[in-house]
Amino acid sequence: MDGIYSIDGLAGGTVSDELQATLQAISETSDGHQIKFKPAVSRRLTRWIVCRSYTGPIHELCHLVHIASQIDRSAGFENFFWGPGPATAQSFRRKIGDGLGLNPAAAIEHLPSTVHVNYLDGEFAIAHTRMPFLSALLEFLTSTLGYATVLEILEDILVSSATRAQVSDTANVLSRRLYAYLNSHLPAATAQRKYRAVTEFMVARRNGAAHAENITDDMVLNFWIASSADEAGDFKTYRKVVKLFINVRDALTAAQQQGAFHRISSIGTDRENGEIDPGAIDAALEEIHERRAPLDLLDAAPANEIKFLNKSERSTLELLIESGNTAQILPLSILRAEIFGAVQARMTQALRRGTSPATVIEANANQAANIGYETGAKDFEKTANNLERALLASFYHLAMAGDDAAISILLEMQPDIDLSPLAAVISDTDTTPDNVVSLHGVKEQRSAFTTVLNNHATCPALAEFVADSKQAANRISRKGFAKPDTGSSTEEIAGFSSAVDALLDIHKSLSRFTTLLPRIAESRNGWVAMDAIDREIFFDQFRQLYGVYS
Amino acid sequence: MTDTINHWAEAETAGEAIFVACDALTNLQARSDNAAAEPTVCFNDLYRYATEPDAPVKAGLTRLISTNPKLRNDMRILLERVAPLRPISRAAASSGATTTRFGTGFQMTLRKSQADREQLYVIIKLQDQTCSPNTLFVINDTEGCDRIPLPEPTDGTVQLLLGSNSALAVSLRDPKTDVFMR
Repeated sequence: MDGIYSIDGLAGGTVSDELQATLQAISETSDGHQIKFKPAVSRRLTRWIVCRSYTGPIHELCHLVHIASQIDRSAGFENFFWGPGPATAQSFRRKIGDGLGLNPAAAIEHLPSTVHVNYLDGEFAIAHTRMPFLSALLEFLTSTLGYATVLEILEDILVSSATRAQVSDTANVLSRRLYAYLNSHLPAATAQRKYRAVTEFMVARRNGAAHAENITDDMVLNFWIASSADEAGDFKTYRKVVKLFINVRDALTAAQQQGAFHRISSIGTDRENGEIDPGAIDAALEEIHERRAPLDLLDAAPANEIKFLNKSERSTLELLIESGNTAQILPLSILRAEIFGAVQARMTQALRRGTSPATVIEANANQAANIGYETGAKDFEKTANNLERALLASFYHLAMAGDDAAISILLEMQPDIDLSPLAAVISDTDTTPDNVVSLHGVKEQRSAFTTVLNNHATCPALAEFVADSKQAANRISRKGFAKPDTGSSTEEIAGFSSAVDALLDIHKSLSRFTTLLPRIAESRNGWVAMDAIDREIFFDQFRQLYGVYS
Repeated sequence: MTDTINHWAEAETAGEAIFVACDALTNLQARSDNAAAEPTVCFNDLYRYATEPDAPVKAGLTRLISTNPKLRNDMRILLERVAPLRPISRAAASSGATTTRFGTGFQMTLRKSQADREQLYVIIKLQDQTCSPNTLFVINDTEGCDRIPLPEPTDGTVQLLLGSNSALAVSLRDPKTDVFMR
């Protein structure tokens, strides 16, 4: 193995176990009390790695290492990056301030939001807000290339006489080492093959170029039928094919938006040489990557104090949330993945246990007759109802604790609520000439919000919402949801509060999706007719895939 | 100047490059959902092990240091930078009942107990009596790495009593073992 801190395993065709395990370990790194890197920092690090957009950040990092070595000469740059405490802009600002207080360095100037270093041949400035990201990058470099290797490369810039040119040279060496490491652990060949298979299929079917807007539910199904028996096995499972098309659609959309759709790199930094700018790839990937953020946030502290979603609900939501806006374009593919993808997963498990393919397929064909589209659609609706109840209950607990995150829930769930009767009890909040109370104004003032809640009885609409939320709180029996009369702990309130935005994002995506479902049924002669047609298509393909016809 | 490496030279289009990155991201995420079977450590875990004697040790760390020569080398180099008391030279081969090694600011002697031949004294003499190390690190290529809390020094001397055949005693008797204190 190349990296030295993790388990063996070079990448066969995609990312290596080692790379995955290292990024995972970094995201879970703790100072003993709390997670060292915020989820947004870990996500950014992952994007730098997969987009290979780390050259600029490594350059910045090397300047920061030089600064760190000068402000804490006794403990070394290591103490700056790995000393106690989380990696936040504030903690790095404090370390620089304290370090320079004890050991003034003439070449380093500490400003309110940046630190400047003056070399004999130039200068460089780094914002405190960049430092957590650079710290995570150094963690990645030392954990993959090894501390001894990284230290040897950095040696020249750990002295006060280091020049800006030396820092650049050091950054280039580190970049090349990382490039070599990632060539082994993050190969592109399999992904390229998959992308080209899809785009060639699109071109063949459309007699033209592969455009994002040409991807349809029927195209996804046809591709799976045509390619699932492919020898490499890249397209065997329907669910993976749906994810593949979502990713291809995302990539084509992003490239089109960047005006870079045609062959060779219109987004490149060196167009004549056909070079593609990793920074542009990073920018395109950010929106895609951040889609998962709501689900990740619910899994992380303090939100994980509360069980907002059970395992089945989370599983129902996963593909939908990761699809982003594509869920609106390929809703049937997502529904099919939930139904027939689940059937195929069960079949694969049974085949692995050694059951004969014919037995597995017929058993699942019978079972699938009972788990059709209507049930699948109802699962999404049930998840939406449960999520709405969790939001209502969250509102109740937050409101009772006087936490103004409750306002976001109220405004999202009751955007047209008539709060005018409250105008009389709120003297210091914004009101329009029509005497409409603005809760956006209230949000700025927690005391005013408490006033609103204390007087909710005077506002029928709010009183009804509070009563509904109390009822929801009473009906939920999941971890972290206390009964209305027992109250919530400080940790639970922090959990409710931190989860509000994520829950509302998920709620919006789910609501948009569930409103599409009746239209799908209507356009295809109802769920029963769809069940009959698709069951035949999918099970016919399963029989071919698993050799029942041979 | 920062070098530019053409990372995406093999991508035919920007769309393909974005897809390749996106696919890697998807794979990373799918794998993290499955969770690695074996715990993985980062350099942060090694640093805490070296500098925070009371901090809990990350699961699997000491085993990895023992079995992974590169990681053990990292530990040795890290301790050379962060441990104020480190070896100047490795111990001379044991001559009978006594082995002595010298370090920056200390001298460590192993001496068999005269009262009980099954026991061994580790006597660490500190040159600077104001220096009070609280942790001893012992790194050996076959025995791995050990971290031992030290008692308070008395008159500049720290004394430990070990079983003659204990793993620590075996390591300390080996001239190739490196010892660090902080």
